[in-house]
Amino acid sequence: MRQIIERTQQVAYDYLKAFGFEEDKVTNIVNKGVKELEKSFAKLQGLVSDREFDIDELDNVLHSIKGILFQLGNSKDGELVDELRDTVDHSNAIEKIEDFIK
Amino acid sequence: MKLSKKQINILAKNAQKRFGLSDKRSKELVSDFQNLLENGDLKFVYDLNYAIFHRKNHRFTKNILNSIVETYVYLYGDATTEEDKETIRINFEKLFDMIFIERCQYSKRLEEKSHRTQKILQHTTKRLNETLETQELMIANISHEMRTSLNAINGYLTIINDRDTLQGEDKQYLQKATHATKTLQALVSDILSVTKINSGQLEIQKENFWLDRMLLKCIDNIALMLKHKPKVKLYTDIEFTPCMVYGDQTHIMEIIINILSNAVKYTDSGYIKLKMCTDRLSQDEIMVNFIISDSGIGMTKEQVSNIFSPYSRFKTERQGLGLGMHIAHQLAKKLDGSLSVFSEYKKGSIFTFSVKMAISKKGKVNVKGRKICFFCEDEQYSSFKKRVEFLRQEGACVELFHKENEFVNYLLTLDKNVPDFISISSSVDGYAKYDALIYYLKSLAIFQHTVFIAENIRRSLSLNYFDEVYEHFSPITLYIRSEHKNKHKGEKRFDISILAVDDTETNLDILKLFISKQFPNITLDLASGGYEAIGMFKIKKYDMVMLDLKMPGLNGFEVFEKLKKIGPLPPVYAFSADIYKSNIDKVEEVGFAGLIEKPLQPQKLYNVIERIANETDY
Repeated sequence: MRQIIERTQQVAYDYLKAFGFEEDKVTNIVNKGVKELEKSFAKLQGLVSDREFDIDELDNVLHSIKGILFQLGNSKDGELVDELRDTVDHSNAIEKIEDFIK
Repeated sequence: MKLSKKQINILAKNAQKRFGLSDKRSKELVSDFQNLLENGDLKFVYDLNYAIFHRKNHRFTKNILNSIVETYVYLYGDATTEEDKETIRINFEKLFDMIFIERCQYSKRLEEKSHRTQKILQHTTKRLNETLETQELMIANISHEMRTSLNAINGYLTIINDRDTLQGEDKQYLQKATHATKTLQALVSDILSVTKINSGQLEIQKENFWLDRMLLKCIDNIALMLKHKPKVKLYTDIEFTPCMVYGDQTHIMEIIINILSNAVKYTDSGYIKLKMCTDRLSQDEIMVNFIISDSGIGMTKEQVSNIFSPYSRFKTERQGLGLGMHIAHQLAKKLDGSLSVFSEYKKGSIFTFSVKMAISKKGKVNVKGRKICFFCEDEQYSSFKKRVEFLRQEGACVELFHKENEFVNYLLTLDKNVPDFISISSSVDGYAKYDALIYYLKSLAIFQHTVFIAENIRRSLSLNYFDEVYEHFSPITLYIRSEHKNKHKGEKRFDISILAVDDTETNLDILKLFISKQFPNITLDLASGGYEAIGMFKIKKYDMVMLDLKMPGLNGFEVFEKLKKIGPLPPVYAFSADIYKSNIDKVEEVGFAGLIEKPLQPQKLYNVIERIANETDY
């Protein structure tokens, strides 16, 4: 999880800076994005550790993570989350998610 | 064993002859040798050992060895008893052992010691490097963290300033805080640069670029600083270079901006001159020289000799820590370039930065068939002349005027075939006159697609109808643009209102960042949920709505249905990362104007906004 966040942080800087935005604006957005990611990942961790969760709620959290990852330019991890969303109703969904966020 | 007189004489003579010793010294030597044989006195051995060590001469050593062997053979052959032979053998063995074997062992020990010392040194160096790396990393990390925090502080200070709610002393405090933050930001940035250079992390990133465009960016960079120095004028003398070059534009710019900023900082009245000239080194390579001179405070000889050392700032009341020139110098070295300075105290300074660059094969100036008209009052303006010659050579149809009445008559009598570009370089007062003329010309249909350029205006002027305004020179690429965007002041400013709805704050922030950069006049209201959006929509008229489809509470489709019931809808766009066919079909089916994908593709978003703005009557 930490790795994904750090990777996103790095990618986001380069991604947004490439559009010519000023550094302080980029920093603000990246910091905010990182905080939102941390919050969403914590929520995701809480859900999968419960084992008995609402699939819709899980899908919502994954959707939110995917959105932030994509918006911050980390499409690689964003696509992985998208794949996870396709399998939330599979029997091994929790293992896959745990694998992803470990 | 005692040597006979005859033996003593022979040995002494032999020593005399072989080593060039005096009679007395050779006798002393033989006496010492006799003491060794008789009493086992090691003086002779130590003396020889010392002589070999002291002289460090392999011939001398070889001579001694030969002498010992000969003496041994002679004495051993001469010995009459077994006891004497045994004494000779034992003592000569001792002699060999102590002189040669011990020497070898000593050498071996030395070698081992040296090896051990080397290992210790290697280990120490490694530890030292590790410590330095840790330190560099620590400084880099701290600097990065500081920069992040400072950006946040700066951001908040800007917000407070923009609100304009503070008064009197508080306003002054805010200005001081902003000023101090900016100084700290610059310092942290400098420390980061120095750390990067010292740790070898600085990467050279080469790219193709136009020199004139790069210099315009450098000038833009110091424009704000110059505004605070009304008595300082910036002049340019840029050699016309109609080709792209391949080099590390970012770092070259950093060096030039550094020198220019220093020139502004240390010049209170007079001039700053930016000159660029090139030397052709080969068919593919040029040496580009940037010469920046000023009429500032100048430097003493001592100051000049320290100018490139870190923390070499001379006038303490000026801002900065003195890292700038050190960084510029290090960067110049890293680029295989050179940076030198000539300065006269109280008269000014001249900095010369030279760097080799490859001539790029990209960026051909294709102006064939383009119709360009120049008006330049100064007939001697050499760079201008070269530009005109070049454009003609490249196939452009160039009209050139130096006299105002001829130029104005030409413009007013044109009825077709008008120029694609009209560039005006006039006296300071002339531009306002031409601005009014352009207003009139633009009301005529034939000039609709003509681009009007004001250049070399030398100061900041408020011109309303020129399409492009350059205080110094226009870049040559201006004339090769395939489609020049004819957007001048007075045209549509895209001041529409947009409502964007998304439950993720980051998404809204990024959207705002992109929209406000391209369309600063657009009003963008943000809502983080469906109910909030409906409330905002009820009280304000929007020209466009962007709705995230998947949100907690009301989703995008539900919000859309509720908005329909409130009143006439502006174009409502779905805003989603779920680009599935089913989703796209559903978006179309319910009546969204379209779907804007996440992550944002800025150009697509800008096209949508431009289309809406053009359709909106405002």
